[in-house]
Amino acid sequence: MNSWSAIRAELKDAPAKARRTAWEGGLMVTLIIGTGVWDLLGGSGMEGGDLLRWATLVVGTVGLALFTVSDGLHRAGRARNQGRDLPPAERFRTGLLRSTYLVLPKLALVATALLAFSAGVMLVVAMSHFPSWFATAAFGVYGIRAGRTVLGTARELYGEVRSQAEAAHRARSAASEARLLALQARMNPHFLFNALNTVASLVRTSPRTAERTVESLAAVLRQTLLRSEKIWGSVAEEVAYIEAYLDVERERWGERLDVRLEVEPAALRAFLPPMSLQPLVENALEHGPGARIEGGTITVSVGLEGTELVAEVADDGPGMSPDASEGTGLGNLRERLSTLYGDAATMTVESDRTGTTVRLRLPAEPPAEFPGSGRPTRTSLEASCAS
Amino acid sequence: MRILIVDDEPAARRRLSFILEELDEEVVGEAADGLEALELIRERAPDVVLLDIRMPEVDGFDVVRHLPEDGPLVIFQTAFEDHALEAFEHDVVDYVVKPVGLERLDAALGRARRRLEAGTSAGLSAGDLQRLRAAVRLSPTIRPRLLVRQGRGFRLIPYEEILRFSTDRGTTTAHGIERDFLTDHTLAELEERTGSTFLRVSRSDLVNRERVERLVPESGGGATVILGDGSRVRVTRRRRAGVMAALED
Repeated sequence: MNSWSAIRAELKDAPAKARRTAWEGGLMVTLIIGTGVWDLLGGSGMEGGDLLRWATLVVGTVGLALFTVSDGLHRAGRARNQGRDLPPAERFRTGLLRSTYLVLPKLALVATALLAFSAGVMLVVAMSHFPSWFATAAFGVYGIRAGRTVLGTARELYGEVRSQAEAAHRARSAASEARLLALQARMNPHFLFNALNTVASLVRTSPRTAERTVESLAAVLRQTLLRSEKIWGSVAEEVAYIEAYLDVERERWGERLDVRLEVEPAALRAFLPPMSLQPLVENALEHGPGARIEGGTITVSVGLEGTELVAEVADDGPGMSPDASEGTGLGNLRERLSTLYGDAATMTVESDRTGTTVRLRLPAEPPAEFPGSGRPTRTSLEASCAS
Repeated sequence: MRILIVDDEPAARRRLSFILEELDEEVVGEAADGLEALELIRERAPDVVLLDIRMPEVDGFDVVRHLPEDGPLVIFQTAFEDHALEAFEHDVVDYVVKPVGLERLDAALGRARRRLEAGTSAGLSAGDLQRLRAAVRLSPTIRPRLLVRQGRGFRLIPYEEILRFSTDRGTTTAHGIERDFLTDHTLAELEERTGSTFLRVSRSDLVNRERVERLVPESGGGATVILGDGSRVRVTRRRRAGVMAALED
């Protein structure tokens, strides 16, 4: 990013408020220079060679000019950013860039303001001279404003850095919580032991089917252990995971389970947190086919809608009560999504006595500030899709 | 001993019957759901029932609750129950984990045989069952049908066909379209099992929202709901606001 052209571009579309600041500053500079010239021409009755007074005037004027320019830029930049929804990392970066133009002149101005104020007070006490007093007041006001801006910017920067660190920490602990949960209760011991019971039975009646079921079960376990350590995974991987999961479940349920899987090819390349669809499928099994003696149907559909990835798991069971949506891992999923995406991800539950649909809406592009392990770079994206 | 196998999964039933055959025990039947289990228990009078806990619509605890006084001994089967198994150990009931090993099943059947010979009854009170259900954390899922007694047997009635429930002196009556039934469930349990379809209008009445024709507010603060079949049910003052709001949807 060429900072100079960026500054020029911003000066061009600086809104009215920033322009006014620039005018204000310009006026002050003129008045102060005017004071100096007036003094030079002897209008104040003071000696032109007063070093302290000249030094104060020069440093103060230069500092004020710099402050005005950078303050205008800062306001222009902030106004531009307010219109857009920049992710925190970018806001941080662009803010920092502008801040370097601000910090030095502001510090100079604060020092000058203090200097001028004390010099001015002495002069006023000594001479009660109007132009000096005026210049002093101007410096004083700008000094206060400079001080406030410096403090404000510092606070803002600190806040940004902290919230970024907090968010990354939350994402990491959400990921490790997911891993823990996946390995223990979330792996769902019911799934595991019922699967083993089924295989123990199939071993006698149909050894080939037993073998196949063991392979699917191994795939599920392996994926659970590997993928729960990562913050991101591809839709293709998640779909493969739930297919293996459902292969195992089909052997248990027999005809009582009917599964429809509809995944748009374009969606396969999108990314989402691992184990996002699995809790939905588990939930649907419990409240759908698991709630009717004759069983039922589960429909899983994944697709892209504009810039969003939409995943829906529906069942034709007798419905689900609202507080049940916090159990069976849905609550944990909701929290993980909120940590990773903020408000950009939603999970909605529609349920009545003819069935339930749980829908996830996620941005198709994962947010920039959660690198984490497994986050796709351009090359890894291509590599994983080629396999 | 005469043994009944109850499990909603065909593969699980098959395995148990293989093992029981190896143990030289008599299997009097297999039930794939709770209703079938109750019917087979009535018809064939087994001594022991190997009862799966998690089954759709009528779960293992529902079955036990509807057993006759002199009914069979129950051995629960469960895939995984975490700490809940401790709750089972204190009780008049036994359990095995799935997949059950031959020796473990043999040991459980041995204990059952001794209890049968000693004549100790299988009685589990409603409170015991409630506690076991909570320990096992069987989440209250919404059910499509209600288990009711009909004559000496049982039936499953879709909740849509029930206009309302009422309790009187501890007995709950389900008022169906054509006739009434008795059910062992409390109104609180029925509220959980029917989700938002039924509304609790008072301590003793639970009404099917879809059968309400209109609600007539009363000056005292309460109200009366009038159902499709003409029956009138009082709504208490405390519940009126909630009931009216629910009927708005």
